[in-house]
Amino acid sequence: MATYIIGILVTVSLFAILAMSLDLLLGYTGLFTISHAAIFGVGAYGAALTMQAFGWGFLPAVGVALVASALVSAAISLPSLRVSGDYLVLASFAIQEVFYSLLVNLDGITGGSAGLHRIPQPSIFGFTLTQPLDFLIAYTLIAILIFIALSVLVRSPFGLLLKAIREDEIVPQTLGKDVIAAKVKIFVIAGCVAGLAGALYGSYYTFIDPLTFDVHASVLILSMVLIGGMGTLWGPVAGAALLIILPELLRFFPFPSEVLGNLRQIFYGLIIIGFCFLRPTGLVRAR
Amino acid sequence: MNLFLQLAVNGVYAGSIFALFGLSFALIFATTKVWHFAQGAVYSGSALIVVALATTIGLLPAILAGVVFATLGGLGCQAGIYGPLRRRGASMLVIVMASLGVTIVGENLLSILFGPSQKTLLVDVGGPIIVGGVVISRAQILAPIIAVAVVGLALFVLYRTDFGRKVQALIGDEELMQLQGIATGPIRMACVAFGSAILPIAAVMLLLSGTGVSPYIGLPVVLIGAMSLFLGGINSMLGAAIGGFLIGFVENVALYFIPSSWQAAFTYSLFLAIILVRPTGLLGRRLIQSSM
Repeated sequence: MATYIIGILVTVSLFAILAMSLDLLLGYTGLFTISHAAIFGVGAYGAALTMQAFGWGFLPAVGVALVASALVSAAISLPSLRVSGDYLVLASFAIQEVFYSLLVNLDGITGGSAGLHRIPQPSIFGFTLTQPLDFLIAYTLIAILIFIALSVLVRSPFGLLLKAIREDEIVPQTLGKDVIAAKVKIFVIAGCVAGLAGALYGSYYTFIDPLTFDVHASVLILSMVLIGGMGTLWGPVAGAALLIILPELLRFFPFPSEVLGNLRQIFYGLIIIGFCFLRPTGLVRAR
Repeated sequence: MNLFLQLAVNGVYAGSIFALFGLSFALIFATTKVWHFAQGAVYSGSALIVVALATTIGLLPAILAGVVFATLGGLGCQAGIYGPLRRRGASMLVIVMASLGVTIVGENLLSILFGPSQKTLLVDVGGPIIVGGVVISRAQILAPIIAVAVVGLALFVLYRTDFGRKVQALIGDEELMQLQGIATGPIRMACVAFGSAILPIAAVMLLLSGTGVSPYIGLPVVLIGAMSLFLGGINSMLGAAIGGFLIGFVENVALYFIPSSWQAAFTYSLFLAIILVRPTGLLGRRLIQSSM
């Protein structure tokens, strides 16, 4: 039981990192993308392949994951620089599907649908994480550090510029601000954070497959930000905790096992619809 | 050469179906301004109903049942979710999330009702015709005819009738219409109904060639519909149909050069490249105002 609870909490910390990084785009800058799971996946596969194929250590592998996810995220930002938000929705959706298709089809590299197995556990300065509790402590610490770093970021002048872009792109432009550079920058930062979550994810589960990084996962991360509260940092954390823990509770009801997965998803879908109607600002309201 | 002709025939077939996907998405997107992701669940639900009923009550009544389901499903999303949310002043983002929520609930309800596995239509429509070594199935003959008929009907109504002019006005400037005292709600509902009703027809065209349907195949249909619209030019119904046709045609002819498992990645990448170079699409004239 303790292992089960610790496992859930580790998952919460990983998705809290993901949701916070997506909120930089969605809540703070007003950029709707449906490709965050792909960035997450670039980090996970990037780190796992670096460790497995080149035999590199965990830290250099994380470095590769960060660079790779930042580059892909910057590529996703391209449509947002030229045209309106609808194009970004569509382009990011298409990129998400291309990424999924690459994971499945490049089976010589990614292991195809079977995924990658036996990913090394994180090892830093001779100390290797192996026990569930080790992971919980380390990953929670990382999540807290990211929270602190991002709260400094969103309060900085750069953070204010992001909010100005969200409200009206033209105004910061007339003030001589480089809106395009700001958008690319925030895509790179959000990509790095999501890629880090990917590297941590792979080394925790020691196994990754394409389904973890498909469009439904992107929708899950979007839901966490919306339900938690956009434009805040506590919100995505709360949203991640809620959407990971609540569906788990259904496990304790006597539903037939063949529909349990479906019921869990229906429950999750209903939570999203309910929030849209009853509390569209999310659990935590932006000030 | 035979292979190329065969791929071209397959391309016309897929293109005809994708044209209907494009028209369906375009009609709903242009009149509601909503990213109607739940269209995916409406699509797979109506297709599953056709498959389930075809063997007991016959194919045509089953298609009718599918059309009724799709129409009610589309109207239900608009009247039960998007409309009320808009009246509450919800942002576009919240409405999109609600649509994704409906998709998740819908897909999983369908999975409980019909099972998660692929279903195929067990109806015999006669063997294929072979012309000069190229195999043409009955579905491949039927699909272009149906597509031209449906798209033609939609364009006729849109450009030659009084109702169509109202639809064009609604797409162009809804506020101005309301100021003139014209109720825009019923016009929008009619477009949502028509856009939803053509989904099962497109699905049957695919099912007739033995393609399977499962509760989870809907989102790619939405993606193809959206790509068709943006490729053809936003707010252009003809553009969306042509865009859809081109996607289906190119996707199949490309199999001459690439293995079929790379089809989806190829299509999406090509689309991304085109939209980066020419964001207004093929028939579009100007950029739309951002709605998100």
